[in-house]
Amino acid sequence: MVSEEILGLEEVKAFYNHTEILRGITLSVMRRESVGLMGRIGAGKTTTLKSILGLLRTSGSIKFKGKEITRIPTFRIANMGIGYVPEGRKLYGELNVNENLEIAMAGAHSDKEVLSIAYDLFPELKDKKFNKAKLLSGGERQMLSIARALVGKPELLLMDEPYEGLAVPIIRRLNQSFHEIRKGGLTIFVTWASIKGLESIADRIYIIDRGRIIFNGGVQEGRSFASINNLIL
Amino acid sequence: MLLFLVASGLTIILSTLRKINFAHGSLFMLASFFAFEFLRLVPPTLRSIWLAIIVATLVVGAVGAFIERSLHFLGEREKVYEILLTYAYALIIYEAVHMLFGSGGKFIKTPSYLAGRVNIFSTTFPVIGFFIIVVGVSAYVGLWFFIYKTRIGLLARGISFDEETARTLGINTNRVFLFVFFLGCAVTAVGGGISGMWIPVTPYMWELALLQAFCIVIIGGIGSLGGAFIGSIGVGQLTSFSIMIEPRISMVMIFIVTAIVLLVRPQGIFGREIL
Amino acid sequence: MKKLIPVYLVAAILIFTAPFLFEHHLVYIISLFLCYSIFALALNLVLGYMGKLSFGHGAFFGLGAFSLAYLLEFVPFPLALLGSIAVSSFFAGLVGLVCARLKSIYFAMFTLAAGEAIYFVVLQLVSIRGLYGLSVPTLEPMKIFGLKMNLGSFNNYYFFIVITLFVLTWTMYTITRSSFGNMIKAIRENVDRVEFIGVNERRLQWANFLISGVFAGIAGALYAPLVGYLAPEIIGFAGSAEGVIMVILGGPNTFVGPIVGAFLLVFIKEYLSILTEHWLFFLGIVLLIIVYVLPGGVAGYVSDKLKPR
Repeated sequence: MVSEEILGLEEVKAFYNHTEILRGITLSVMRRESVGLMGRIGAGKTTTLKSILGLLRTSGSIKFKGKEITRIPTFRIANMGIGYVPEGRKLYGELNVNENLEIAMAGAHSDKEVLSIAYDLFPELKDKKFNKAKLLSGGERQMLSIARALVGKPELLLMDEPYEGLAVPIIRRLNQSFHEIRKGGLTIFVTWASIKGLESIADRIYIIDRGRIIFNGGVQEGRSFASINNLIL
Repeated sequence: MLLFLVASGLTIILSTLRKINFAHGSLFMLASFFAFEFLRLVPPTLRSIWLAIIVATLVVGAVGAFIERSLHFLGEREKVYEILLTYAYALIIYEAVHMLFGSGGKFIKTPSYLAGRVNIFSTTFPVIGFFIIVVGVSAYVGLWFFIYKTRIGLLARGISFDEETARTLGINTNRVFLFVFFLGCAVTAVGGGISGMWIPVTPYMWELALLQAFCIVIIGGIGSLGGAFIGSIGVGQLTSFSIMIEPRISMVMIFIVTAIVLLVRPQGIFGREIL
Repeated sequence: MKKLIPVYLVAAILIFTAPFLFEHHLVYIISLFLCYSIFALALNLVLGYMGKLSFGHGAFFGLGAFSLAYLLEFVPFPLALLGSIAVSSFFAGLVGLVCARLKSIYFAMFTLAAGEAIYFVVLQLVSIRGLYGLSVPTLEPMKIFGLKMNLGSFNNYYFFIVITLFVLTWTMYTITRSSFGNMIKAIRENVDRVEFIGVNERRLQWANFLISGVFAGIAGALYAPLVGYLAPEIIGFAGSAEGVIMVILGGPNTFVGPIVGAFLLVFIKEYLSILTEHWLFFLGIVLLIIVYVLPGGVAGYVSDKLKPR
């Protein structure tokens, strides 16, 4: 089976007001791959993801499924099949679990059955259906954030520091879910600040530093590269 | 009660969209004028107050939508510019109405079934007052239902918390904004259309309406519909009360209360959102 | 802005020699413009430099004007002037004390409410006498430092205003360039950081507001004898909004912006109202254009153009 490129960035530069954060990012993700993006704080990981979603001013080319998405409004990009699990989860704290999912469903124009799929994947959330999101534990919140992103049945899932602040058992639990989802054909693009977390989930990684990609390869090689170059994480 | 219609429209827009509309009072006034002129100019067959109100609501709602679009066009500027822009609109609308329709000052004729008075608890009370209260309460119920029980209401609430994330979920936030803005203006417009039966229609109404609505929203709390409701009742009572005691300071009272609220509890009595 | 010094000089010369060059009505308009520019400059201390929108500044201007008019019935001009300064300082201090800690929107709302409250109170006080506004007694000739001055004469009063206002402008300019001014600008950028430096930012804000109110009050006091008859509207939202419009028209980001704005507003008002009774309409449109096209105001636009690329 020939793998097609599902996400392609070429010489992408991104700005916050007038400060250049990304100085020409080129990367590529194939279907069904799980690719990690590693970098220190401030290197440009979140900015890269936000650029893909069209939340920032960018120059360069960003292609999703072969189509140029740089000028397309965010909500349409999402509807094209990109799910986003933002840094810090960004849940609607005042609303309950169900409502958070319903908002996502409204955005994705999906039907009710999606709810049951979500609760099957994360049974822990089922009991807490009507709890306000802000009352959930860290792990549950992450689960909700992921479930929310999956509601639209995306083909590409962007995750920004998904393990932040979570304990190891929960991380393992989440990785299980990721394997489940990947079986269904999902492509994952995830950022993280250290290689350690990405080992179990990524097939290969990019390393980004100060707005530029400095490494592209397997996880183990990435590790050696990082220690050689003193990228302390 | 009339005030509630204005205030509720304002609070919806303010809390959900975080946009300040200084022309809100003008929309109220515009609707009022529109209803009046409609009744005056239209052939007798169409001369129904209800039709006038409906048409006024739609027209003013459209104006509101236009304002929203233009606010959007402004992009990422400081809040000050929203205030200035909508104030500019308020000036324009005020003068335009003044130019076209003169100074008004007349009432809209109340249809016969709503005219007259009613005996309650040994005082007479105008039926039309009752009617306004009924409209106000049903507006409250309707809006509450809309915000909490419908899908769009849910979307609006979510957007008010975090707009960016909503977009990443595939929600066309612009359309929701437009709709909510329209709704807020429409509610106010209904108030405007009806107001002609209770108070004289003048172009100057807009300032007072705006100021009182803002005060109510502040006192009742930004982000709270119930707050706006109770706030309007409270303000209404306060005004009539102070007119009885010391008529000369009745207007000042509202502002003093507003000032106190801003000091002690800036988010209002029931408010949840902090701008 | 050094390049503009010749322009400033010419303007200053024109202003000083106006009574000899122009006919009376124009000079009158110019004097109005001068008073308003102080008002606008004062407002800009809060709006442009501190970054907070005050919708109640008309109250201070008006208080200065009304208290002067009232006091003139009892005491000679210099004392009345001092008295009116005291009045506006008091209220500016009071209001400022309360709202120094409010954030931008609440600040705007509060100043609006405060301004309106003051407006209504003054309205009531004034209408006790049965009149709608307050007429200002003409100024008697008097002796100051042994010099005989007759400010009742228009030309004399004009020169008095010009000199006083130049002094005031220069004072405000110095303030904005001082370390105090820099602190205020810092507050506009980031309030918390200022606090982290160890500065009591609330007190700074209060002080700035107070200064702003005092200057506005002086402007009002000088304005009163000029117009002879005071309408209470200047205190309320209408007057405050005019101030804001002036600042925005000219540009809140430069020192001279408010002056330019005051100039524009006064002359637009004057000549448009001759053309049509409904000049507010066009003002609204002008405002619209400024917001969209020239957010920095006219002065902002010019200063951008002059910046070296």
